[in-house]
Amino acid sequence: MPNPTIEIAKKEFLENVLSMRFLIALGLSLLILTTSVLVLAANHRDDQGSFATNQASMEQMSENDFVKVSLQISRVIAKPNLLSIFTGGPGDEFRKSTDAMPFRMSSAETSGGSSSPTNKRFDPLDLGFVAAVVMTFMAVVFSYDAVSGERERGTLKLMLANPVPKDAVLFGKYLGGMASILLPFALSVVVALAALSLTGVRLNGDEWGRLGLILLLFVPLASAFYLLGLLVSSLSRKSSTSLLALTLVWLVLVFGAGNVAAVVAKETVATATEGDMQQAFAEVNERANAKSSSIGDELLALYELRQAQNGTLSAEDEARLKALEAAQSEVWKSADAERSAIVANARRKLDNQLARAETIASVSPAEAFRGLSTALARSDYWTYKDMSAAVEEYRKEVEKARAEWLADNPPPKGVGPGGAVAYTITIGGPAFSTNGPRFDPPLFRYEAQSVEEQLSSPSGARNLAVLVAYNVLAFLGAYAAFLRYDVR
Amino acid sequence: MIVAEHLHKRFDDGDVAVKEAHFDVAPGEIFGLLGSNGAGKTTTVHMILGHVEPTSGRALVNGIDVTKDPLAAKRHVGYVSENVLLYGTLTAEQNFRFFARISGADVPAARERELLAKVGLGGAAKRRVETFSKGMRQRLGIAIAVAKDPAAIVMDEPTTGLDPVGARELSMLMGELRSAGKAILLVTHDIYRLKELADRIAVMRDGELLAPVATSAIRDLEALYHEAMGAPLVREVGRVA
Repeated sequence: MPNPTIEIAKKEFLENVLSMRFLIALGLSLLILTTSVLVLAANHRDDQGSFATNQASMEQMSENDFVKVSLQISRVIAKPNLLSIFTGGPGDEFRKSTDAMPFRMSSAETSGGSSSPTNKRFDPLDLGFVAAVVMTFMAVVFSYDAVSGERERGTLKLMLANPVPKDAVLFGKYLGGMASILLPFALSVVVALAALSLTGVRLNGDEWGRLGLILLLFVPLASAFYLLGLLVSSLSRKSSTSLLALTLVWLVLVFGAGNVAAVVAKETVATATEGDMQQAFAEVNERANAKSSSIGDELLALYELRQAQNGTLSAEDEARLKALEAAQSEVWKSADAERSAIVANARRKLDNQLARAETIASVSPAEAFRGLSTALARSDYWTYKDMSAAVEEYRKEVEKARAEWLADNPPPKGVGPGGAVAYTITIGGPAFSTNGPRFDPPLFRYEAQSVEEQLSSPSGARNLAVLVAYNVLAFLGAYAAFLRYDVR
Repeated sequence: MIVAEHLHKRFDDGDVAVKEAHFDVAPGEIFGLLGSNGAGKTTTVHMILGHVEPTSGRALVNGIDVTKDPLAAKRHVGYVSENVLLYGTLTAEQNFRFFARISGADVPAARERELLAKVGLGGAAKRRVETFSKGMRQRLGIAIAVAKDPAAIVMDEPTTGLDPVGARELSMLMGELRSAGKAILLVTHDIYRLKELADRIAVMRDGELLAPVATSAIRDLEALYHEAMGAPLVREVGRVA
């Protein structure tokens, strides 16, 4: 005997595929996905061109697959992120080129405007957009009349006049509906990837794996919205009511949640503006200058005395000179530390703001999906932060190695006061003299978070839980509502 | 056959839709249920089909209690509803096959062709149902209802909205089904159709079922109509004729 669930799923799929809305879904996703992939691939090529130029001017320091970092003491150029073609995020802005100096923030970090991580977190149009916006709306379009429409057409009572359990109707509709949503999406992805391959872009194994996972995560996302549609449709007597209610729910979940989250986070977690930073730095500089100039006056007097005494000083003055030089150096070290603390504090606030916005936004399955997909594509802000921290650690490591190298290779006499300041070393580049000893810095090694680490991190686990919870709750709700549904 | 034993339905809002309805439909009989809108006819039908659970009493189809074993009971009853739209984007044969398969019937291709031809849709089997007239859809509905070869068929206002030719074709099909031994419950407010087709007629008014009478014994059609509708027959003549 034929299985009614399978029969209903087949009917649902066939009915959807033959409908105009399926053609519209297919056309829309094909158009947006293919064009966005091609446009973003072109941008990626441009980014790679810049990266290659930068690399040519700086010796490559890393064999790392993910972050091909080249750096002079402070400048980091990260390899363009290929997966950003599919799902871009705020981290991309920062990863393209950034300063690793702990006492400097990029303009994006301090702008507070459209390029701030909190704003960038919620905007790009790409596969992530197609999945989270276009296809979730299609899930709504396919499901809003799944139950109420059958009632209106009189087919629900006809169907249930047959030996078909109500849950078979619901399961069948769910399976058929999901197949109708996944088919245009899968076709669009295949066409977009084919178009991408024509541009010469090639994904490596890790990138394929991550892209595959992102595509897999689309299933619970689409399912959450389809089940919400089934739930609302099972609560409505009329499809027009159901469509209106679902459009409202969709708008709130897809657009409202993120925007409200950003506003709430910005209102509740203040971050430093460019002006705040400049003022804080000015205060530090003022204090340091005041201290430095009082020490400097005394130092200058001692230098002049030494010159007048043919380069000699009494033992007492010599000790005083050394103490003053140390104090002078300490003033600027301390100012650097203060500036670093100001920036670290500002960055912490910025991170807290984004983290709060993402936590609030994850009440929406669409935002939970965006959070997970940008993390997997490594285009999220947190991957940038992770990489940035690694670069900073690396910078310290290089400084330490350089100091040790300088101790073993003292500079030629008469090069400058204290000697070491004469070595403005470009890492990987020539040392002080092309004929002299060469400083070989340690290689930059960076291991990005693995997929497992990303998915089991607090935000990853929360986003996965949100997707699962929506599916479970919407299914239970739809099930309960449909069992009570008056088919007349 | 169909048996309604003291079927009673009180909805959650306190409204009593059907009061102790008691009747049976024998094999090879067309039993007419006559009444105005809101009389309780459709609720009675839905209790027989298992869509609505009776507050008390029971409905039996082919001897099976619909409330106790709805799936088994539904194997033996076909349903033709008022103005069913079916699945417009699917063809007639796709609609037919879908309903036939969920009814549990394995209808061979030859039988499918035969049934569609019998309802006059042999040449339209591959046409989308959205292009069908109301009459064609109703005829397809009958083919679907009989696909599982049920012992009983429930028809709820099957001729509503049909033109005279369509209604006449449907009446002929009903006559054929009676000849084939099906127990047919025909629910309508079209007294002429009932007079022409039904073996017995029962009037339903405000949820109460009055004692069925043999159609051949009806002397005063106008009085019966008045009793069922609470309005003189003359009002309807222009529409029905």
